[in-house]
Amino acid sequence: MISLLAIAALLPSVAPVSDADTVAIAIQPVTVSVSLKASGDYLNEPVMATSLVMDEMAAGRIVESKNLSLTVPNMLHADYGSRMTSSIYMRGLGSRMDHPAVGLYLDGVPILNKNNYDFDYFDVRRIDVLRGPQGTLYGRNTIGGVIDVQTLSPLDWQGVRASVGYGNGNSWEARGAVYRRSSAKFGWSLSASHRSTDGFFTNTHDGSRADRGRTSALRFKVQARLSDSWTLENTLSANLVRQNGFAYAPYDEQTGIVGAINHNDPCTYDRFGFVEGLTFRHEGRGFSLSSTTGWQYTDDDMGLDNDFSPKSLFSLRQTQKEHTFTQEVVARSSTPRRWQWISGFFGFHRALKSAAPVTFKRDGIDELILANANNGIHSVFPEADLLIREDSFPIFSDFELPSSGLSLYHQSTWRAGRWNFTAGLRADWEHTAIRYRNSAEIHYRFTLTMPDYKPFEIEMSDRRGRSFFEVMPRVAAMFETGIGNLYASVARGYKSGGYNTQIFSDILQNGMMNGMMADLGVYFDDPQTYDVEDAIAYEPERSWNYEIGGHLRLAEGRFHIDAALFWIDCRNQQLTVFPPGRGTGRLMSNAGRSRSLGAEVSLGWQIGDLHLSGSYGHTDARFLDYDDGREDYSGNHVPYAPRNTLSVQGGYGVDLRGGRAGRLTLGVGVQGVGRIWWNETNTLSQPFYALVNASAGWAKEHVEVSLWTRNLLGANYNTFYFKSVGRSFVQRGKPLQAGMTISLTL
Amino acid sequence: MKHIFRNLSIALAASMLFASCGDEKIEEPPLPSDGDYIGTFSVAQGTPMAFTIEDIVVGFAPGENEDSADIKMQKVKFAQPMPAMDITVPGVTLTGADGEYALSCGEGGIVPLIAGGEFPDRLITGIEGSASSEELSFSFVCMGLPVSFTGSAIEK
Repeated sequence: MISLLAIAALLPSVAPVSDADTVAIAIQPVTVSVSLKASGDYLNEPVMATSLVMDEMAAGRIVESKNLSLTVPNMLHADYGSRMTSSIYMRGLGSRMDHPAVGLYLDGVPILNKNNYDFDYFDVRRIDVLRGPQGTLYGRNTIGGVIDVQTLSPLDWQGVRASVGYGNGNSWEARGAVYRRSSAKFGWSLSASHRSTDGFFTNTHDGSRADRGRTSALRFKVQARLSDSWTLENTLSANLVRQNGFAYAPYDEQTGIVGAINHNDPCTYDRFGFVEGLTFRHEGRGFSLSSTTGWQYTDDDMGLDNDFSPKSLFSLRQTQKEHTFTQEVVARSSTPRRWQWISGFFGFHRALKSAAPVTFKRDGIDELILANANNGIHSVFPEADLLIREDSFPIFSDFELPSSGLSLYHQSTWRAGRWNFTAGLRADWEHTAIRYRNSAEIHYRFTLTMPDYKPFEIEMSDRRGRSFFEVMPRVAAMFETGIGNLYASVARGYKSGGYNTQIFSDILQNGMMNGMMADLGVYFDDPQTYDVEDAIAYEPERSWNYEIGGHLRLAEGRFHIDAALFWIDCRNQQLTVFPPGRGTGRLMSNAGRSRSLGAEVSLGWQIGDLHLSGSYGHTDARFLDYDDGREDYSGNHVPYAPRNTLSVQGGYGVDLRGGRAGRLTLGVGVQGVGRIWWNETNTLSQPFYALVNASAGWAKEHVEVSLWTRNLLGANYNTFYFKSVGRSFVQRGKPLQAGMTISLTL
Repeated sequence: MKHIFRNLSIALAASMLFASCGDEKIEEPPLPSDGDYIGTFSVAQGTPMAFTIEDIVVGFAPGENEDSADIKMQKVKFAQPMPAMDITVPGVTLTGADGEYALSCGEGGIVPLIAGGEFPDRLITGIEGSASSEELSFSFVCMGLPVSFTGSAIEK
């Protein structure tokens, strides 16, 4: 539903921005995309989409991916505490680790690692968020939808842009960009962005800011018309993240009271990454052809006080280095005929190397490793203890996770009078593998029989691999009513299977304890053990999405409404679950069967200088068949997926003294989400909460000044819940934020 | 001369007969060597604390002089709530005869090896039993509890 909406109404440049005295850059909604797959004309397609153009994003302060959240109905990209944890939920489907449920494209290049999803949006000319599975054209891991980000083109706009802003939390931002068109056939641009904040939360252990961070980004883009029929575009985007993240506070499940953030080891996340995309495009007779080659590099480093407490239990440092290569060739019919078609080939290779040593410290050795062992030992030898000599020791974990895939797809659309019929099919093959090497070495002593400490080593190494093949069809019918259209569609969604590495610390920890006891010749009944294959391998998630909807335009387009009903039947939904007991890792589990039933509506109304817009999404996502062997969760809500999302915005703009004194804009909006269940048993949840945002702006000629706020009323809410070592924690939502931005456009 | 030859023949036949008798004595069942036995481990039978576990594996390892053996009981427990343990009884006295060892120990008993070392508190006394290539059975007393094992050899 192209809802060019929502926040557009919130801030200064809400109204169409063609006046000379406004500095916003007007990029029309239907701008030719670098990607042939993105038609941009989603109003006339059987799909629900929210599209935002540049001035709307500037007005709504959509400066990073999380700001998109709630603007799009039934979409939540909550702040889970770091720029690494980019969990996007759409229509009840989401993912907390490994494969994303929502695909992300940046200038036609698919971003395969969701660690890279959270980046600064600067000089983004357009974002399209397609809801529902898009597997036929976009492939794997688009079971919830696709976010298509297109950056500003030097052939579309030329000039200089700069802005600087300051907000509470000692938050600074600065941006600058140059866009040049050297000739009719060649243009280039260089843009940079830097943001920093001291954050809003304090680690009471040492008084440091728990969410301090800074991000820097650089983009260099070249566009050239090589001939009458060939064009070239090359975009290199790099980003750097340094942050104290994971401002997690203890949570009392009985009272709901959130304690103080208090951890003794640092929690940090650093990342350097770039995306290089090279696209050749050819306009032939009756068809267009494009080839997009992508190279992504990610080098990130996460440090965690994994118990998030002042105790010295254990800490984790995880480093990842990844190279990803993608190649896509797309051909599409380009003349208006009764039969339209698009075909393509896609291939990728990911080479991910990761090291994730877990360091057990004195408290962790005593409480997590020795306590259980000594409890059992004391039942037979009350006077004896098992001891470990080290004050801390690392469990080394090194992983290689290569994966490759190939896809072929085709989609055709036939027009018959006022009817359009679409059918498409994609065949997707993928191979994924894991090579792991884990080891630990300690010295232990049983006080009753061993006068000296004895060395003990544990090592696990192996390699495994699996292949998946999937066919993703889509059929749709659309009827044009004259004032819009109505459609019905059925589509297959698919999220890859794979291997999860986050449970290895638990596997090694248990292996170490059981190994030491076996070395002693002591065996407890039913010791917690892991079958490695069962623990690390998870199955693909598959769904069928049934949907009816429509796009309606009235009053010469000044009023629009887009609405859809959907029902998603999901098999093997991938869930991140906490291991039982005092586990330290995470398991990826497949729920037997679940379903999402929901509706979404977006509308906008332009009345002179007043613009009103809103969107509402409702999703009832439940397990139909999910029994993990300990409990039957059938009938319960799927955790972390929001039940309702709401966005209501109003904006008003007025020329001062006929425009001679500039233009004044005012905006106010409410965005809400909830209820969000936190666990499979549905005993914990975040009720619906609403954030009030407001803004005021003044613009004249080349200058624009805006004042903005988020969470004006200071609502208290939690954005994330999890357990570690049997204790519960939450990430608090940010309090009132306010700031001012001054922009200059030449 | 003929008489002398007949007597020599008788003597030779007699010597061959005795030699034949000697060969038959060598073919007696051999004494058991290193091996594992699987069977039933019973504790305190006939008392309210009676406890039995099936499929317990016990290793029997005679020493070089075949006058003593180590008996390693794997994953045994003396009561349900306690964890299973490997218990080695070193230096059990062996007396071999007719393909079978008789098992015993001195009056002072034997200190078992448990959890990586000697464990005097769990002194083993009153060991009795036998070991053959096919079967192993023994009994002893530990902490006042009568304990017994009867098992069959596991084919190598």
